[in-house]
Formats: sequence, structure tokens, C-alpha cells
Amino acid sequence: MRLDIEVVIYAYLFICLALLFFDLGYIFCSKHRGLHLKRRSLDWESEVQTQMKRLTEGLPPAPAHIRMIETKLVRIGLLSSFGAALDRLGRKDGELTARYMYACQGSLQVVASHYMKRDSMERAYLSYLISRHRPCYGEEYRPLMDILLEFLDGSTVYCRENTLKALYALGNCQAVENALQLLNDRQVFHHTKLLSDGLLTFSGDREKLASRLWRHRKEWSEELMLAVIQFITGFTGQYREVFLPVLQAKDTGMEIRLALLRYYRRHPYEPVRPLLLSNLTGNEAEENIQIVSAAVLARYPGADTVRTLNESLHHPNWYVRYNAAQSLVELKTPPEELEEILKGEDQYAREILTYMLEDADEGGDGHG
Amino acid sequence: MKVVTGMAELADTFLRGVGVFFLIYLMLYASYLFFSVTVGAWRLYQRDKRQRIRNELKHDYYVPVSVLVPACNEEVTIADSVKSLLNLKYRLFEIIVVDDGSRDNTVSVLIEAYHLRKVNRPIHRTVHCQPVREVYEAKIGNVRLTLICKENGGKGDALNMGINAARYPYFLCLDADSILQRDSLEKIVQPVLEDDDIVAVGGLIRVAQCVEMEDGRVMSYHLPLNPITAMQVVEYDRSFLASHILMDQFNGNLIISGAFGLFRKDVVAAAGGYDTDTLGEDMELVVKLHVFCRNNQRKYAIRYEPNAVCWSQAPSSLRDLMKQRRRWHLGLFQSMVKYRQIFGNLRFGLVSFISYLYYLLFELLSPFIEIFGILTIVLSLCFGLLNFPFMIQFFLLYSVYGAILTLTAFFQRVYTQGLKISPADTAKAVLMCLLEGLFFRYVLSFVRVTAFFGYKRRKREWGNITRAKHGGQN
Repeated sequence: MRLDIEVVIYAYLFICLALLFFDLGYIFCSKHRGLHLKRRSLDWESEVQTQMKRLTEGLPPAPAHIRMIETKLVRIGLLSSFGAALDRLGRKDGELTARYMYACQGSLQVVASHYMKRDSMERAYLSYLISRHRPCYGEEYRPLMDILLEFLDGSTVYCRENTLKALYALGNCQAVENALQLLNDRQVFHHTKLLSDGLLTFSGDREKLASRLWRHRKEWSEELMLAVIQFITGFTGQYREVFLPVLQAKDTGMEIRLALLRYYRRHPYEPVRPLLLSNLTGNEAEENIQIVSAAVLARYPGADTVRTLNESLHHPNWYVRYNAAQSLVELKTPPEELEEILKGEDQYAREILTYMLEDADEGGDGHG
Repeated sequence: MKVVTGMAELADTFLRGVGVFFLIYLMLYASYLFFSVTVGAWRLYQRDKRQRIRNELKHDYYVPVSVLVPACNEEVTIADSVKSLLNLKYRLFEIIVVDDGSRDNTVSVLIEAYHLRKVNRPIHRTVHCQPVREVYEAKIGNVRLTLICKENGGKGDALNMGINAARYPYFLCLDADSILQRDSLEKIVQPVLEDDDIVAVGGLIRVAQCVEMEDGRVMSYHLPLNPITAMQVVEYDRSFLASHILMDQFNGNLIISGAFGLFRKDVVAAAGGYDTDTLGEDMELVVKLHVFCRNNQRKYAIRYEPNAVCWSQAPSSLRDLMKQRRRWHLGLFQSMVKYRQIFGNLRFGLVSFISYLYYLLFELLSPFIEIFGILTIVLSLCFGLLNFPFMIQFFLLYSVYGAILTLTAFFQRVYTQGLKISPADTAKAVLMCLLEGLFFRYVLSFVRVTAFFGYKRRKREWGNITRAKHGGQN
């Protein structure tokens, strides 16, 4: 028995020693890796500069260079040094770097097809490189886009995000639509915030993209449509009329309705005013809707708004009172119209309104 | 004569039984340490590679966060800590310092340093806490700084007040003596964008006495001269690899340090917030979240993010260290007892059969088992059954094994964080790992065994240690 545990500990000890040596070796290699990467990226830089010179002379990249890309960039280490070289060249002359990438798009497509068989981590890097230095751009659908869509299948969140960023950079509406369709079909979770903020970086025609994505309103999941609404909110007020019937529809989901209400805070639209007021005065609206409506009304000045917000200061829900007070202050409501509250019996209403007024005097910027 | 023979036989049988027990116990412990360090090493290697080739969720704007800093008698460090928070590279966050009835100048130091003004801010009580005395606010750049002075109620109570006052959907709890790196908030929030079910994220706690910081950046790293502090450095690294990374693989972490953790506010509030009657409110909350989510059949994840680093002051005297460890052990005991329903419960899966069991056997009971082992050695000596050479040989072997594991963890942290250490520090680390295994852990075992003396008296204490001004930060 005694011998047994000794043997086990000796065995573990040996493996731990191996791990320790691995750590030390890794630390040693890490020191040199940076230098190595820099040296290789400098080699790439001079190589790419030679080809750029050819481009300025009206010549295509040399066949040997094309072969070099297709054979060498399948190795992740060389691809990352190539990426570092492009980053430096891009800072020096963005336009020429873009021309170089455009000239090499065929070979990059070959490289990308190799990466289809690689793990998510390496695919993510290629997508990252494409998102920074796009080899093609515009409405013409390219095979590279299909390859990127393949990258999305069975990928990690990082690969997905980098690939979507690459597709946004390529500026093709169809490709982005296909990508979102794929996420919907596969029921893949990708955070709404990542999607909506990412869509806002789309380099093509955003109006066209918005209209294509909105067409899927009834097919796509609520999370995905939430991202689409947030994307639309971020750049256009053209959907005021389109969104109103959806907001009024009884079968629209809660999160979508809240997102649409927020749209009307960013892009005020008079016809929505009665709905906002009735959300606060009526008994039908749910509390979350009332909370957001109280905040949205800050963008709808008028006597009816002030009256409704004043009433909402007596609401049993703390957040409704909070937002109503904040909206009244944002609307720069004259003091005489608030006097009843400030001198009134309702301590909760009085306290929150007093605090908001004081805060506004001190230059507070709202309270989230 | 017959009686003596009978006694000897009885002792022999007893000692054999004890031998089998320790054999199994040590096998389990050695195997657990081995697997956790191996898995940890692999995961960290993968993570390092992933970052090198840009597999990360870099975003301009993440979710807004309320940073809660509970403080009690922290006049020495509080202003610097807030200053370091204001340097964070993050778009939208607020800082809420909750003063839990300090008897020193914590409040006046903050008011003076940041020109705070008194406000009549109503606070919505969603979780229980002691009443507010005064609220102060100021807008510094883009960040709103709030100071809430309240009646004394303990750290958990102060955090509950912070939750009530927080404006944003996620809150970060942070010790008043902690310093964050510029990107720490960004790093700890990133997992939230990876998985919608995340309710809590823990960051990596490291010893602040090791670094010189400037504007939230690590300028230099060295092992402290004080052996008590230096041994805690290697101990922190080992425990990080030994439990957090492995347990993270199956959503089984039972502790997120109170020094640095991110939580989803609505879930914490629904679970009842921090317990105000426990000494280990940080562990209690995480275990409570496991129980709450599982009991309510809610999908959840509790994650560990080793790239989110918080530099926290470690006790530098034995007295302070003993105070801190007694508190930790009592906190562990309270949480384990309070949530004993997890033990052997299939519904909790690996949380029950690995995490809970690990904390029970190798953390809570281990000092008692060690003392029991020493008593057995004395008994064996009395009956002339002790094999001295074997005992020494085995003790050394086990200590060397422990030291090597600790060293592995230490160098793992060095490479994953890209820290540069001098040859002298490397030699010091080797020495500390050996000393930690040979002596330090036994001192701590003694402290943990004696933790229960006078525990009722200490229930609401903050357990503050002597603070020093942070070296070269900001």
C-alpha cells in the first residue's frame, strides 16, 4: 500500500515537472516569438511593397507572389505576420493596400478555402484579417462570401463575431442577410448587442440592408429581430410609419415592443403620442411598457405630456416615477407646473422630482 | 500483560484503519491537484493562443456597469482606489462607494478629494440593508461618483445598499483597497456578451504588493521582500489553477472573490442579495445563486475570467493574515452548512459531486484531518509503530510535489500575463514554493482549526487589515 501511493506521487511529480518545463519553455519561446513575428512581417512588408509598386505601374501581382500567398498563408503563423505587415502598410497608404488586396482576392479565396477545414480559432483569424483588409467590396456576390458563411457553421463565438465583421466590411447585403438567416436556422445564440452594433458598421448600403432584414420580421427569432430594430434605431428615422402598426399589434412580443418604443424616443413621431399617453393613463399596459413610455415622453413636449407625467409621479412602480420625473426635467417643465407635486403630500413623488431638479441644476446628464 | 497486548492490537487495528483513510484521502487530493493543474495549464495555453490570433470580443461599447465599493475605515487607500477606477478604459460605468459607518475619515477624504456635494437622492430598496444617513454625488468626466453613508451593518449589508443604488443592469463588487488594470472592467464584462445566461463572472485576484502601476498599467512586477506576502503570491496562483479554472469547465465555481466580481443585478436581487449575517458573503452569494437558479429551473452560468485582473493588498503581518484566514474559514463553514442541500444531491450534478465535495473535504475539513494525522503520528510513536525514515521521506516527497505544482501555477501566470521577472525573483519563487509547502500551509491549518473560537463575537466585523498606500499606482 505504501509503495502504491509513492508510485502515484512519483508519477504525478514527473508529469508536473514536465508541465513546469513546458511553462519555462513557453516563456522562453514567447520572448522570441515577438521578434520572430516582427522579422517575418518585415519580410512580408517588403514583398508586398514590391507588388504594390507593380500595381502603380499598371501591372498585376507577379505569379510567383500569388503562388507564395496560396502556399504560405495556409500556415497560421505566416498569416498573422502577413496581417501585421498589412496593418503597417495600411497605416502608410490605405488606398494602395486596398488595391493590393483587391488584386490578390483570387488567391485569398484559395487560402480561405483551405481554412474551411481548420479549427474555429484559425478561421477566426482569417476573418479578422479580411475584416481589416477586405479583398473585395460591394453588391456583387463573390465566392469568398460563401466561404465565410461556411466559417459560421459550428464555430465559436469569436469566430462568429470575426466572420460577421468580415461580412459587414465586404458591404454585401445578400451575404449579411444569408449570415443572419443561418444564425436563425441553426438557432445559434449571438448577443443582440454584438449583432446590432456590428450591423451599424456595415460598409455598404445600410438602408437597403435594413429593408432586406426587416422583411424577415415574421420568420426570424425575437432576439434576431431585436438586433435588427436596434440597428435601424441607430441610423435612420425612416421606419417611423413602418414600426407603428407593429407596436400597436397585440401579438408583438414584449421585447420587440420595448425596442420599438425606444426607437420613438430616438426618432420622435407625433402619431405615436396617444399610444404613449394611454400606456401611462390606462390600466392595460404592462409595467415594463409604462416604464419605457415614461422615458420616451421626454421627447414629446406638450401640455398633455406634462399632465400625464405629473400623474405618473404617483405611480406605484418606482421606475415609472423615476422616469416620469426625469422626463419632466428633460422637458424643462416650468416650475409652476410642478408646484403641486413639490408642495404635495406624496413624499415619494416629491423626493424623486426634487432630486432630479437638483441634479439637472448641477449639470447631471440623466440617469440611465 | 493481556491488557497491554489487547491495547496494542487495538491500536494496530486503529492505525491500519487510519492508514487506509489517509491513503485514500491523499490519493484523492494528489489526483485532484494534478488534474486541476493539468487542465488549468491546458486551458490557459489555449486562451493565450486564442488571444494571440485575435479570438476575442473587442467592442467599442459593452454593457453599462455599476462599480460598488463597500468601505469601512479605508481612509488610507480609498481616494487612490477611486482614482484608479476613474482611469478605467470603459465607456459607461458609475462608481458607488458605500461607507458602512466608518469611524475614521473615509467620508471626508472622499468628499474633499472629489468635491462631492450632498444630494437628497431617494434609493429604491430591492434588497434589505441598513438605513442611509447621507448621499453625496459628483460627475467626474463621464463618470458619476456616488458616496452613500449608511448605518453599520457589515460588508454584505453595504453591498446590498450598493445594489439598491445601482443604476445599471450589472454591478461589479470591488474591495476598497483593490486596484484594477485599465482593461479589467472590459475583460470581466466580455463573457457576458458570449453567453446570455451568465449571472456572475469572477476575476483574477493578485497580490498588489507585487506591482508598480501607472495609469492602470503594470510598470514592473517583483516578488515582495516580506516572506508572508511572498508566500501568499504563490499560494494565490496555485489556488487559482487548483480550483477556479477546473471548476469553470463545468460551471462549478462556488466562490467569486468579494474583491472583484461581476453580477447580474436582477438575478442577485431576486435571490435576495447578500446575506448580512455571514462572514463569507462572497461565497454565500455564489452558492446561493447556484441554489436559486437550480431550484427555479433557470438556465445560468457562473464564469471565471483570468484576464480580468485585480490587484488586491494581501496581509503583510502574520496577525493580519491569521485574522483574514479565520474569517475566510468561518465564511466557508457558514456557506457549506447553510447550503448543505447541495451535498450528494443529483440535481446539482458536478457542483455537488466535485465542487461541494472539494470544499468540504479539502478546504473545510482538511485542517481537522491534518491535526488528526498529527495525533495519529503521536499515537504510533507511543506504541513504537512509527516508521521514521518513511515518514520523513514521504513528507518530503509530498512537499516537493506540492512545491512543483505551485511553481507550475506560478510560471503559468507569468506567461499568460506576459510578466517579466528577474532571475532573483525566479529563485525567490522557487524558495517560497518550498517554504509554503513545508511550513506555511501548516501554520494556516492551525489558524483554520482555531477559527471557531470566539466566532459569534466576530460575526459583523469587517475583518480589516492594516493598509498601506498603493505603490506607484495611478
